[in-house]
Amino acid sequence: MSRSWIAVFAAVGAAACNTIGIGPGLAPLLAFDLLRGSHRSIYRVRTDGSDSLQLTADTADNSQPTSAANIIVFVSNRDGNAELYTMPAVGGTATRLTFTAANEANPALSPDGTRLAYTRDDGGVTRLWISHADGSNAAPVTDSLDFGGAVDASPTWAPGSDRVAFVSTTSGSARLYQLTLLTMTIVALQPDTAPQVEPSWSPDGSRLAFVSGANRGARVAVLDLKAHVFSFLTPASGQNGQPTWMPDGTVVFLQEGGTPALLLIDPSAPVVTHPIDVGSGTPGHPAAIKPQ
Amino acid sequence: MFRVVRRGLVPAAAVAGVLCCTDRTPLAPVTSGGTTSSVVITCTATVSSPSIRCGTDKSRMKSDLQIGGQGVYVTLRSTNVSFNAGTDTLQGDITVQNLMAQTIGDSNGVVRGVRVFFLSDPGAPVVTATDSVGTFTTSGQHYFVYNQSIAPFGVSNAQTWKWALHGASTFSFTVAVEAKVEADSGILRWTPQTTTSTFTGIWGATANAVYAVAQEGSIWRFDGTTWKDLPSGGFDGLLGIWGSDTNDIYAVGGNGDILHYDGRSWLNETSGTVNGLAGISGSSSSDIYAVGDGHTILHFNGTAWSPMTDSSAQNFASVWVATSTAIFATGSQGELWKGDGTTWTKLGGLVSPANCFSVWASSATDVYAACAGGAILHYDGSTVSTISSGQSSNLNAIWGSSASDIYAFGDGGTILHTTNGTTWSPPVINSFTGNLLSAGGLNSTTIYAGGEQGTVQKYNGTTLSTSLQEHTDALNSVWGTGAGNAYAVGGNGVVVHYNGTTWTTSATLAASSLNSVWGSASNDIYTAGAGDGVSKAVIYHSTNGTAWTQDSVATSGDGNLNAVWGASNTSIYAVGDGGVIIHGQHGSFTTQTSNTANDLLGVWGTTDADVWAVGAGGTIVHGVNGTWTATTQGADDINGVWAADASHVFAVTGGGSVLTGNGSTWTTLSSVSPTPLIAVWGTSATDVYAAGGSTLLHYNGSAWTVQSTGISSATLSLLSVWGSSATDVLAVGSGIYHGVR
Repeated sequence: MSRSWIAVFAAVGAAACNTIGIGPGLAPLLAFDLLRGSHRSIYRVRTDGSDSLQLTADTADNSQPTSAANIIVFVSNRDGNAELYTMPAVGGTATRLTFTAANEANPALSPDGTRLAYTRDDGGVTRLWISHADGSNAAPVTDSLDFGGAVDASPTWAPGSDRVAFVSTTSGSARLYQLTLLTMTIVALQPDTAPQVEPSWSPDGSRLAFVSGANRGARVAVLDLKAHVFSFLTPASGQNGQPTWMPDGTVVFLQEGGTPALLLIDPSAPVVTHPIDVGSGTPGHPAAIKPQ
Repeated sequence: MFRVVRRGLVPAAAVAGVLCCTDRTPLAPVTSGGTTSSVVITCTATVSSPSIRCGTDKSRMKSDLQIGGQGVYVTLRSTNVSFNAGTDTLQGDITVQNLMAQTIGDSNGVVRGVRVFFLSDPGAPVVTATDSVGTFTTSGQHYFVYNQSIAPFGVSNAQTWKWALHGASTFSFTVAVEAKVEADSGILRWTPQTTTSTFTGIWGATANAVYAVAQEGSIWRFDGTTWKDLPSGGFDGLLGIWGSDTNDIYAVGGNGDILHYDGRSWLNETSGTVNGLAGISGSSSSDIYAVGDGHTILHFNGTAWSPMTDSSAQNFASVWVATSTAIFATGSQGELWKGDGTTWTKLGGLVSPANCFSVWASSATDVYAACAGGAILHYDGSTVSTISSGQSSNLNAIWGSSASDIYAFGDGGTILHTTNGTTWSPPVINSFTGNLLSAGGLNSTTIYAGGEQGTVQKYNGTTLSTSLQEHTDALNSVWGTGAGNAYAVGGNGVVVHYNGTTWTTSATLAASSLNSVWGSASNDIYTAGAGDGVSKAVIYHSTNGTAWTQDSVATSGDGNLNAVWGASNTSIYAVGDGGVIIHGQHGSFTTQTSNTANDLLGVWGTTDADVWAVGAGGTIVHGVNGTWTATTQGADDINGVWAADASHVFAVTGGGSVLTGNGSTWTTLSSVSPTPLIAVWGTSATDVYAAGGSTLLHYNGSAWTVQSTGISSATLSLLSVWGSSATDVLAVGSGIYHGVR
């Protein structure tokens, strides 16, 4: 079915402040990776900057965390190439999940914690795979979609753990696609003609945050899956990416231009952003640690 | 009159030593649109012995980068990789080779550049000094810009990549290439599936790695089970092949072309000559000789090719390296020359100058050359003598496993064997009567000979068998029901079937030529071709592709039918010479009045109320439920027609033009092709292919763009195109060529 998408341009302020409301009680937790010194490690922090904790302590590069059901899955090169590992959400011993000569990356745990979507680059071509959360029963899922040189990236699960949105370059530039697991059908989501990358599904399942790459830039946008419209959360002048929805409906993203930083924004009032204090270093790949 | 254009193949009967000299410059795209494509490369850089390796093949070429998918879409290579300890930086010069069928980095004739972007950065602490940062598959990706377009199989200018290591000794990264291409639906890579070309050179590394070059420019590899093409870019008249191992193979041909295969893709090397090269041999990867026209002798020292001086006046046809100080060459004057690594000396030759085509030696003092008229030269270390083989036919190739086990191969399928160098006799009766032009082997039980009609024969010391010969006749038409079920028909009544993997001859019908094939389903197939020459047209029907029954329909003229198409399984149209149109179904064909006497060459339609037949002299006839109205469009023969729907009709002409019709009027787009266009087919009005001669074009709804088949334009002749989908297209003619995504 052909859909027409309407871009709604939200006015976005440039100033950051601390006035955004993030709800009563404790602020949501997120995991992220942080380059501090010579390697990246996995950390967690609340969106108000509290409860900061380093979760991996080894000297390998550990990155791209995803969390559900009290576990965190992340990418590490501690055994040579990029493989997936799991550990408790509070940190602890990591268990290797994948054992291949290929690079596994971009993990996304399903909200129910039972399955894992990720990318794997057998033969040098990065494809979307889905496995059980323990890494078993892994299988590629985009053979029917991709041509030989297409790249898949950045899977994200719908709240019902029944669908995966991801990026593929099978039509040329990067586009968003949705895989329905029950039927194993894939449909294109085409909100824009610019590259669309790094989707993140909202907690209520009605929206996708993603990054629009028009003119080589990076703007965080939100796509309303019912109304077929999208709006930008961040200005064209910025370089912002890696959006992730928090359980309270806010979005954390990475400010890539200038000094990299994690920022919090409320899509319902996207005029202010709230920096998240993670200390020194270069953060990346924020992912919500969802309450159980 | 039978339309010559439908079987107008370029003869593929070159003889070793006779080189083609046509321009191999890729045709410039007519125009191009704009979508982007990306492919992936995984790399590891090592500082201790400065190198960059990419992909899964890490066996050699420490300074090379390789695209993911083993060089399927693009290949990145690096040179001048170096480490600067003072600045703690690693750098290398990186080039991009385009292995796709269309130019990349070009949009509507405007250079848009090629970008190589990082899917994954090297990681801390290594920092890449890239051109910029942008969004490709994720945000914030570093990339390099190659501000140029790259033609099919072309190579970009080098760019220097640099990494600040901050103490790292190794690091890995993954990159991808993004570039503008003509159209997403046009991203096909073409490879020959069969060939009727002449195999002019054979070299074997192992039983599972035997290589053969064909005059058309294709290069084939036998993996122990099947022969498959290694896309090489379509260089003219390849005549020789040799390698030091499976990741270091050279092929030589016309225009001084030297192709090198590094295990991933073929790359044209700088030979320094435009003289045709015919032979190549070496003692190691850093001691290789190539010889050719104009008494050309080149030497490769592991780094570069350089010319050697000799006083010969002959065109060299063959070279054999017995040792690094005993290199032998022969050629058009029947002279045998020896090189010692520095100088070349004439040893002797035929009494009367004549071609010697091939040389082989068991040692520096036991050398044989195969020559015209069945003559054989022998050099025993002191003198050259002429040996009579007892045959008068040309001997084109010679190879042996030892001094007492030597074979010579020649015209008319000649195979001779000797154990003493003096007495030559056929070791076996060869039923193949085409000319054998090349030979190579592994040992006394594994000898290969290649020749005309796409033939490679294998002799195991006892039995001669056909290793490769899919079919011998030119194919005029292709049609199928899906990716795993297609038929092609051609000369001598041949019907070949494709099961998705291999082509096999499924039938040989009585017609001297089959010109068209079409069916309504896999169990309802028609083919038509030459008639009885007097007054009957013959059309064949099959329910399985193997057993065919014929209908004879009385017509005027020679009865030749040139095209067949059906509106349904009960409404089949076949058109032919003299304006003949027959209609009906198996068992009940009748003639219809076309209102033209011109030869009709193509037919296609959407329904019985909308059928188009095209033909000689610009003839177009439109049929509406059996009533035909004739018009003309220009004077060129219109050879093929295809309709996406009633308002999007495409026809192609012998003048290289494309006619587009909307159902009532026609628009002519002239000079779309430099060669006559014969056939047109598509999946929609924005995905159409036109083929003819050496040209294959794709239309994306706005412009026609040349598709590179990777076959030399000197020998490629396309006569028909059909596909199961936009990403699975077959073109046939001088061979069978498969385009896939």
